[in-house]
Amino acid sequence: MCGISGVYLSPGDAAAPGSEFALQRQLEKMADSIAFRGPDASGYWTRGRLGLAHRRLKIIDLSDAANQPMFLRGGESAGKLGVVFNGEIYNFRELRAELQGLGARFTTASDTEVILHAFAKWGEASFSRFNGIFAFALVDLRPETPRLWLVRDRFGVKPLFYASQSGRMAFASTLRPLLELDWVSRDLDSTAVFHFLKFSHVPGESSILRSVHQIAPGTALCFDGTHERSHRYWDPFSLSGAAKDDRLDEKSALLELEGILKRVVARQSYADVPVGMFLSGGIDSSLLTWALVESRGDPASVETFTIGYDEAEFDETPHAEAVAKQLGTKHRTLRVRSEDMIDLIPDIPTWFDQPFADPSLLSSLLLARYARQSVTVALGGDGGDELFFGYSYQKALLQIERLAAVPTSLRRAAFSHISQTVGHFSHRGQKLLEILQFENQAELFQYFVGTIGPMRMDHLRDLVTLPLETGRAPFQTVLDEIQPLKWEEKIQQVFVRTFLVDTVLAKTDRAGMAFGLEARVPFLDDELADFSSRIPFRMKYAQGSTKSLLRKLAAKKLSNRVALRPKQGFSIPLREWLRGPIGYLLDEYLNPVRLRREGVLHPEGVRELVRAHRSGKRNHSHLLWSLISLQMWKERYAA
Amino acid sequence: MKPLRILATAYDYRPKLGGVATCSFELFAALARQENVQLLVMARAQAGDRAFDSHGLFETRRLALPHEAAMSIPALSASLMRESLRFRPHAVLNMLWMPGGVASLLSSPLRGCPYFVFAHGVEVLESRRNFRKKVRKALFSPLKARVYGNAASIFAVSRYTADRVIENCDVAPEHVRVARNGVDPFAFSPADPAAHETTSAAGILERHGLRGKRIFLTVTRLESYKGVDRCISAFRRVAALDPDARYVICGTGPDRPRLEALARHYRVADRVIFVGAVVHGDLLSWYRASHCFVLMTREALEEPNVEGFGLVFLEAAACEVPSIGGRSGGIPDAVVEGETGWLVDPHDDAAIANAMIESLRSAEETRRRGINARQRVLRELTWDHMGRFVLEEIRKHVRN
Repeated sequence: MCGISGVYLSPGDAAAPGSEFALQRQLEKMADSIAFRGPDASGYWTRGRLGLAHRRLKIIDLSDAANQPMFLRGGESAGKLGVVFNGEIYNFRELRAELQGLGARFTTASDTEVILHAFAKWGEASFSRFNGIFAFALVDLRPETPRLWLVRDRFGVKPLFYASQSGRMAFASTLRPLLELDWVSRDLDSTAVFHFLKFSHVPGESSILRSVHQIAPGTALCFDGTHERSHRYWDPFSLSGAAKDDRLDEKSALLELEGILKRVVARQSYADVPVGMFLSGGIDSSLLTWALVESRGDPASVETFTIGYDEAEFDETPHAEAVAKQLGTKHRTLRVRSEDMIDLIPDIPTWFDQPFADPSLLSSLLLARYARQSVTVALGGDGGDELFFGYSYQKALLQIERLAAVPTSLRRAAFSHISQTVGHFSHRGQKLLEILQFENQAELFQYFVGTIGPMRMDHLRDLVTLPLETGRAPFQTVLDEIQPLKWEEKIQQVFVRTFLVDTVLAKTDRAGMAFGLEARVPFLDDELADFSSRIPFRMKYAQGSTKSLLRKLAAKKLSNRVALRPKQGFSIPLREWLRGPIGYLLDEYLNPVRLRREGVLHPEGVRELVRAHRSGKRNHSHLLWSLISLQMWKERYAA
Repeated sequence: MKPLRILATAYDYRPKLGGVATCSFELFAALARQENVQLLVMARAQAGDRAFDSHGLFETRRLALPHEAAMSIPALSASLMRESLRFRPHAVLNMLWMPGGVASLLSSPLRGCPYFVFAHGVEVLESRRNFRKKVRKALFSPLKARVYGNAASIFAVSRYTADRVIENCDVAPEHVRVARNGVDPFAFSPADPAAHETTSAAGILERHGLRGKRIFLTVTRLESYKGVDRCISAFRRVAALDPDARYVICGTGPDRPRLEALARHYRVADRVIFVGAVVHGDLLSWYRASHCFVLMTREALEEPNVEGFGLVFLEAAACEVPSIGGRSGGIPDAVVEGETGWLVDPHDDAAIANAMIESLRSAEETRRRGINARQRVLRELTWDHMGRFVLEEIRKHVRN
């Protein structure tokens, strides 16, 4: 894992006196701004209008020969194909052998060089052959006008931001390096602000800034100095569109899953540095730990890490310790107090340089910091819920959509009548009634996928002064694409394409990178993902039980205790914190005078929210936390 | 010539600390120092008052009055009438409208001499924030207007306070005189390099590990409207530029935990020093050791809270320390922009930080403003200046 950045200047920029020196300085600044992503080495390359920068975290081939930017060193394309790469190609050894068979000569043992040879041989068709977590920028100097390729892995595990304007382009692993460039405007994307406050993250291919975008997962963008062309080299539709193997019986499926898990974990635990495992004691991470122990054959060589809290209802340590004990791993538990998490708050904008308000990022940061003391790579269970139908919200969506058969107007009339008859509902009751009046599927998803703000987006108009563009409804683009699918497949697609990439993976990447820890996600390995797309839905969800097949494997290989455990997320006690130990953040970031001066948030609307929360009448903790996060981010980057 | 007999009432009074208490005592002392003035002070009894009152400058009668000012009115009115018969004052001077001003109003038909009332700032304002405050406003606003309206003159400690009295109490402008607060230029003075006392400034820096550091100082009760949060927020920008800058906060109060958390949040906890309560000797040392004094009190009209003048600015000025003050309340009377310090928007971190940075970068200009500040004190802002002004005004209304 690393930090990459680079620039493709416009002809005018390149013709300016001293432009090469200026470009070099820009690259240094861009790379320095994310130095924490790659503490082991740095490298720069410039030629004409192009410049690449790299900060390296050494994982595979620790020699300096594998430093980047890396250019092909032999063959016809020597010196003409270069790359800066963040991530891992898990099948690089197989690809390397294949390429060697085709005449490629390798000078390093790294996976980076495999990208170069693969592109030299197969061109853009090479991208779909990479099984891994990656974001890379590849320069092709062979055509008359050099081309810059920006490529992101299938699921979007690794981030890749870019900005383009008037014949120039810049890219980076995160948003921050782009802010080093004068021509990248810091104007907020008003719709992104609304979306952020609704979902606690900026969804999709946009960013919080109007001028900056993200390469979509499974997508490659090519820029030749004038035009940009983007194409999806992997279609997430294939996850649902694959022919289901309806004849597959459960016994065979379990056997196949067992074999795949072992292979995937063996593949993904390859590194020239110590590798560990995040173990919560839940189904996903326990199965991965089991597979790692199996593939290594030496339990004591497997290091597992868990975070423990004083609040018993959130604490998973007994479960994790039980699994570790059963499997015989070298287990470590970090016990944290509220103060430890609060102490991290000021640094959130440093590591999450696009506003991000999932409060569990604090525990992710602490766990990453703790694990980094022992290992450089850690495997985790992210993606299991999305691919194997593990969320209770997915289950709720499955059931509520049945109401779509009843016309919206009828539902609205009925629920309005209920509301008036029963009188004052609890906050939750009101929320449920509001949900049941959904107009369409896109709206239904807005209630269930990562939502933390008010039920309806337009309620945020009381808080945000910026205009809300109604044409960009979240989820609608995805839903348009997957229209022919069955409802359960739609649910899965939406979670994979939105919540997984925008919240789960963004958090995992940023938290790990904050401390130079590479977090890997075996559930998103191509082989396992393809398997999940082939099995019939009844193996994911049966008789009200989520992640059915995984549970059965856990029962077989571990224990019923693991298999039957309900999903347990960690929830920070934000409600109490904002009324107590971090209440000063409300005064500091949401005070009316400040808001009035800045002009982005409505002072009166926010004040009402703060007042209601502080008085104990309502719980607005998540929305307030998002507002604070936005303000902290603005203070750092957009002031 | 017969002496002028002044009977004075003080509810907030020394040995308790605070702006009104200090102003009351120092003004009485200044009046007592004037020729042909006989002063009798009636003040609320409190712990340690006997020792304090042994100064011998004037006579002090202590009264056992309740903590709620309004509840003190009957007892104070009775005592005022009793002392009036005995002392036969030519004028009654009340340092607050409640309870002294009300007692003077009630007893005036029997007494037959004019009374004067001071206005400091916050007591002039009224809030409708909650039910209790609404009731209070409904009950007391007319009474307050009566007290001020019947006074021979009203002394406001700043132009801001004078304007609030005129605005809120329906008083004619010519009825209000601005009698700005003062300071004792001997008790607060710059360090004399030849004198032994310079060691105390060095000593206090040594004790806190601040030798060679450039100190921004705040002396205040730690309450949210005092704006220390904005100073901490601004200071982090200064700290990023100057590794030797430190921010020292003297005082106690309920806002301290929040402010400490804020200093931690901005990663300047090791450079923001909360000293707590300080004795006079240490306070003087802190002033003398400081590069600049900072206070960003804001108008919190809902509470209500405001800085009517800000005595601490004068204390710093007397020590040749320039101030960075918030442009709010009576502070512009205490700090002259460009001459004795900097005035900025107390809500604007960037403006506060800019002033701090400018003070660090232009050492000569900072020094010039510090010297100007003390010169201004000596010229017009000592307690004696205030005493003479008040006395002159009282004499205008008293028939010999």
